[in-house]
Amino acid sequence: MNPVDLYSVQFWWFVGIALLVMVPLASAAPKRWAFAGLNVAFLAIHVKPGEPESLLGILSGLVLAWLVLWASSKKSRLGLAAAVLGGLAVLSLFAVHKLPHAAPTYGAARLGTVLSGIGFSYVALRIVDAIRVLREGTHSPPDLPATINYLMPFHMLSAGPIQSYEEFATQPEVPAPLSAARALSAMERVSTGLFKKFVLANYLDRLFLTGFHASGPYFLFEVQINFVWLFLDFSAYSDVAVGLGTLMGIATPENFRQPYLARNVIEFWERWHTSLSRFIRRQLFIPAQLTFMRITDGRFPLLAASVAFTLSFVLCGLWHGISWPWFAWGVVQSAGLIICNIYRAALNRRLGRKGVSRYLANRWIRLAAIFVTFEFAAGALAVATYPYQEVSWWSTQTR
Amino acid sequence: MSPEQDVRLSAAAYALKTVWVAVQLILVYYLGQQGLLFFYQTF
Repeated sequence: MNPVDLYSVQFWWFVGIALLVMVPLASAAPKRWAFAGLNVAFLAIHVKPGEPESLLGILSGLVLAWLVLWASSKKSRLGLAAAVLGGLAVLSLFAVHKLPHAAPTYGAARLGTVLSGIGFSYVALRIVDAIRVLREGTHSPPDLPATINYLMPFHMLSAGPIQSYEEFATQPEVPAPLSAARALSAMERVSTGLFKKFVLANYLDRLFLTGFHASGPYFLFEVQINFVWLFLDFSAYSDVAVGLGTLMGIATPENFRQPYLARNVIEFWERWHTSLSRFIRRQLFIPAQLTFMRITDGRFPLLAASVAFTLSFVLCGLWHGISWPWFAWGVVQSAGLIICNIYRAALNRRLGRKGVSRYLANRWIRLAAIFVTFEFAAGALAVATYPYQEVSWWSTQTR
Repeated sequence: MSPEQDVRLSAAAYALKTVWVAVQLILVYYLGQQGLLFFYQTF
């Protein structure tokens, strides 16, 4: 598989054709089938010449996923078995995707390349989300085109967002007609995304980033710029996806809400990569917190939240990359969230409701809080992305 | 912005937005391409 390249002429030709197909369609079934056809065509275009079996593998995987989702919705033993086996299969594929160098055979290594090409990290979370919702029985299982559209929408393939199955299932089958003003606003989202990625992020990278090879004060400066660069680059993909989704009438969730204005780590995760943080809350944090509260009869709510934060964000770190730096990132993030939660509880106890309102309204405290949150997030990112393998002490210890 | 959300724009806002989209795309074309060339030459 070739990676999705927003700068390629091929991608924008495809977008043009997709808009021509999708915009005039006004009824649900043709829209669903047409979008599924476009998504499959997009996958076919991205398969390298001479590797048709990759496309066959992806399509077989999609049919298998559809069957697993359908079976998971059943309230019988078959449903439970399908959900468990589906979950295990996703976990195994995720391991191959994240550890391609550990793949024992050539076939597994190639599977890793294909999984990278389709952005399997995102696909895996969508499958898990769908299985959970279908087990709860709150929504009906998707048909084959809907499965393709949910798991591999071409405009969300490169960098998400991770749409929840609930949001996917409840979106209107036929969106409101595309007005000129909304089309223009959507085009503005796309152009802003391209501007952020190819001009702002690109030049920030060219002018200031050294891959953390600089030392002294410049290293500290680079920690800040690296974080700003990631925001510009990553949110750019989301801008393009949201804009294209609006134009095609496909609900595409927002992923960033001015994360630099967050005044604490908890709020940061409500603003940064929100589709991922909502997934973590639904699938990891709330179940873990409730389980711990049940075990302890609700006597230690702060401890329950702390355990849930640690479990959630260590796993979140490993989702980003199965490596010690990303594990450390998860530990650092959970430590920040735990401290923030304890600080919040202490403030409430000490100042009372009115006192907390005054505290929150204080402009200087707000500025200081935003600064500290920014530094924390930038530092945590540096922990995860620092090139340890190039440092002699790390190579010696991990050899 | 979701496909359901309606957007109302005045004529001036409409014109400004159009210009802004065009300016951004022109900048992407010229500056982005240079950045990309740099990327490929360097790595």
